[in-house]
Amino acid sequence: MRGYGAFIQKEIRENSRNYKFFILGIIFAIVGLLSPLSARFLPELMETLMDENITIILAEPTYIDSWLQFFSNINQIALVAFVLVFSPVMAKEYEKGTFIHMVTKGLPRLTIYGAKLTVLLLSWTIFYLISFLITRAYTLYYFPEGTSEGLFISVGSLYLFGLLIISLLMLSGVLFRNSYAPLLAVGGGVAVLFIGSIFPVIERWSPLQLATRNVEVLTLQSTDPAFTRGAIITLMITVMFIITGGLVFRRKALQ
Amino acid sequence: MQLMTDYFAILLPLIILQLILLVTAIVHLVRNDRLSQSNKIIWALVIVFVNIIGPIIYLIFGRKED
Repeated sequence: MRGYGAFIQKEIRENSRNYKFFILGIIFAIVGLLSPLSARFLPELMETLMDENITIILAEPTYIDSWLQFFSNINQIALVAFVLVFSPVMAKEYEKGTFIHMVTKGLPRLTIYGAKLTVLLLSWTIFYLISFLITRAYTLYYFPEGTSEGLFISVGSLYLFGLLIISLLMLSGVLFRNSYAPLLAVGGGVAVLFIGSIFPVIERWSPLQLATRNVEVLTLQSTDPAFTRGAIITLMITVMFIITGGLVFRRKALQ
Repeated sequence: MQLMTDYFAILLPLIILQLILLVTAIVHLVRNDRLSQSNKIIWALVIVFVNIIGPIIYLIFGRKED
């Protein structure tokens, strides 16, 4: 247990020193700000940019637009940045052979794996929370009429999807030595999910629903069985990835 | 007037975040002795003129500390 705490401290110190936390903090905060900003001011911006001869009818933006922006920004900017920044999570250590020192000094391999995973999950949780709170505050400020019903399910499901991506990142980090391979693995995984969604049978079970149907859940303020199934499947796959990663790491050659 | 306050309330934190990012990257660049003078000038241009992404790219790929 002492080793676990010490390793987490080491990871946190390392990630602060090489600016990873700093960069992600800024990116998630900017995403949090940008979402209500673009929802609130996009129609006005369009009006000023448009030619006078062209009339476009834009609906008055609501709090739904703000969250719509939030979900797409988190998916397309923040989660991508997170994976990019943390993709060399294991590769660096394999490359330098630093794991060997720790393991020969008696630190259990699962402790190393667990600590690395904990730091990734914790950072995702904290950064996502920062982003969410900023968007929430500004959405309340700009669109006071919005309700919070359905909000926590839709926001929580995207969080859950992030956990799935992180567990896949960690598993592929353990499997491959190259620092770009985890990127490809995560990209490939998401691509497979998208291709799978073409088939209605798979779509009704797909974890991808958690990242694509957020606005629908928010507007309807309820979930359907397909969505719940997707969430359960996501949880199961996440746990499976985490366990597999741990098992592989126990037997993996460290250099 | 209301519109101005509305803009200001959200633009100010955004600008502050950008400035923090910019200053951190520039300070790191100036102190970085692993880069040659000409490389530093190119990075400085990238950091200053490529909004938000420039400083981030420098801090991820340009530091050369490992």
